[in-house]
Amino acid sequence: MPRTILISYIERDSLIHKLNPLTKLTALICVIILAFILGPVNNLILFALILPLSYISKLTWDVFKPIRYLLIIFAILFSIQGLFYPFRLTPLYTIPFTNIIIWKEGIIYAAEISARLLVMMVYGFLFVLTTHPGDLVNALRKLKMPYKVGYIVLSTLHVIPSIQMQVETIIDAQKSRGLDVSGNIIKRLRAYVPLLGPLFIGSVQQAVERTMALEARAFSADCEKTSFRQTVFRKRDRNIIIATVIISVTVGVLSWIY
Amino acid sequence: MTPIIKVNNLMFSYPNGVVALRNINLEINKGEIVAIIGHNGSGKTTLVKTFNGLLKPTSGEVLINGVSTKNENTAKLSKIVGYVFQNPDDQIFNNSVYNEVAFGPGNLNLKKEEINKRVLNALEIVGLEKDKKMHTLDLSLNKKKLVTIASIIAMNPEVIILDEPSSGQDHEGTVKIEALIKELQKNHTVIIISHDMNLVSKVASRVIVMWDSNLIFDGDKRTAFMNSDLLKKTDVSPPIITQLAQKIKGFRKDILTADEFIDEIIKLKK
Repeated sequence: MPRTILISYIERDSLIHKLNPLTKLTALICVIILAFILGPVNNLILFALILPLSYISKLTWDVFKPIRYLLIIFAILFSIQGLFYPFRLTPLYTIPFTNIIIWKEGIIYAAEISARLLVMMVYGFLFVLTTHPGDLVNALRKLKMPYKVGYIVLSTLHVIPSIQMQVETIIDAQKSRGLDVSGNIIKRLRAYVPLLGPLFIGSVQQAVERTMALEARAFSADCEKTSFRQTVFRKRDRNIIIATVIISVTVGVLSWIY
Repeated sequence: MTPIIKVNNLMFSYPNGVVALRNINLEINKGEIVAIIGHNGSGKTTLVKTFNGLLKPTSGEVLINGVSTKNENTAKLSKIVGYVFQNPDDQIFNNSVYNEVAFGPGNLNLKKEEINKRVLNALEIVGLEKDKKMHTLDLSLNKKKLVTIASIIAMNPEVIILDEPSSGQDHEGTVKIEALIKELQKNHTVIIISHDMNLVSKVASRVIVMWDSNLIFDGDKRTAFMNSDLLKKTDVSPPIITQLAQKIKGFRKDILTADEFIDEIIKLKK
């Protein structure tokens, strides 16, 4: 039983869950492109739009949980860009009693990147949480994606939670042998070395066994393949795709012009 | 005398809300061999993970030698409670058997000579003295299991918990583990989690039965194996020899070993 929250599909009965994965994928791609076009303020508006979406998808706060992983990246971004941004012009703040200056341009640049990351992360997460991996692969296969590539996509999505659980077990096993994983960062990094062996060996062993198990179930059989899970492309999917693309292009063009 | 492990009104639920332990009360005393049995997912492993602080009680408390686990970390508790995980591949990472067994005592801040002494002693107890230079990847599953047990013995904890010691073991391995558990009892309190009723009937004196996150039985193993309601509820079948004895008229119903069975035949003949 995992103690950390896994980043994987959460079953809910919602409109967003029922959409065709391709619809959601198209919307996600639109959002990612927009994130790159828009400035930090507009990106924050885009970020705020996740609220109604997460409400509709009945996931509420689950979508926001991964943000805590981003905080470290933000901290690094702001400190490095604030201090060393190459096109620095305007000093924003001088740390008292030192010559260390924080530059306005660097902070703006860091804000831009952070807002982009934030948007991509939450929307990407919304996609993963509302889309069953099997449905995604099915939908992609209908677009003539090779079966094997489909499996690679699927297994990648599966492998993350399974590795997460394995890491937990391995950490627990070593803690039970007196391994102290607290203390400063170097001490902690050194403490994690014993975990790598079992993890790599375990992963390779699992991969080899999975290959054989797949072959034993006719994975490479040379015939048309059918699937238990069915994805339907409804009229509303088509409408949503058209609407999303039109809105995104308009917003993109408008923000590019102004 | 304070019990080595005392559990008061222990409740535990995972962050996703699944309740894994409900209102558990128990005491384990020095020198006991206790077997914890029950379905998969009944809470056995969760229960023992609270004993060495890997999991902290949601409510209630676990006292180890009278001290609550609440503010203790596992690294510290591992000096008192050693836990051998079910799958050896989850913990073995060193290149040689010797180094693997030395990892635990090395974490206890001991002197080199002391570590060496402990490792050799542990390897002798499990019967792997000759394999100490072997690469851990070249070991059979039987031996890997013994290495993981030795690595805990070398830390010399008061309590040794063995999670499924006989899983994946062939007959020879199981026989060895049986003997090993009896040997361990001389200096340690032993807790085993097992589905192997043969093993349980042979080594344990006391049985704790978990069912659906609850502790539903705690007592003598013979009483447990005679309690047909309990066995039915938890889908546990007693050892074959017990089942056979229970079907024969005039036999005692709590026979657990072949020797007892033979004694009963001789008694009836007279």
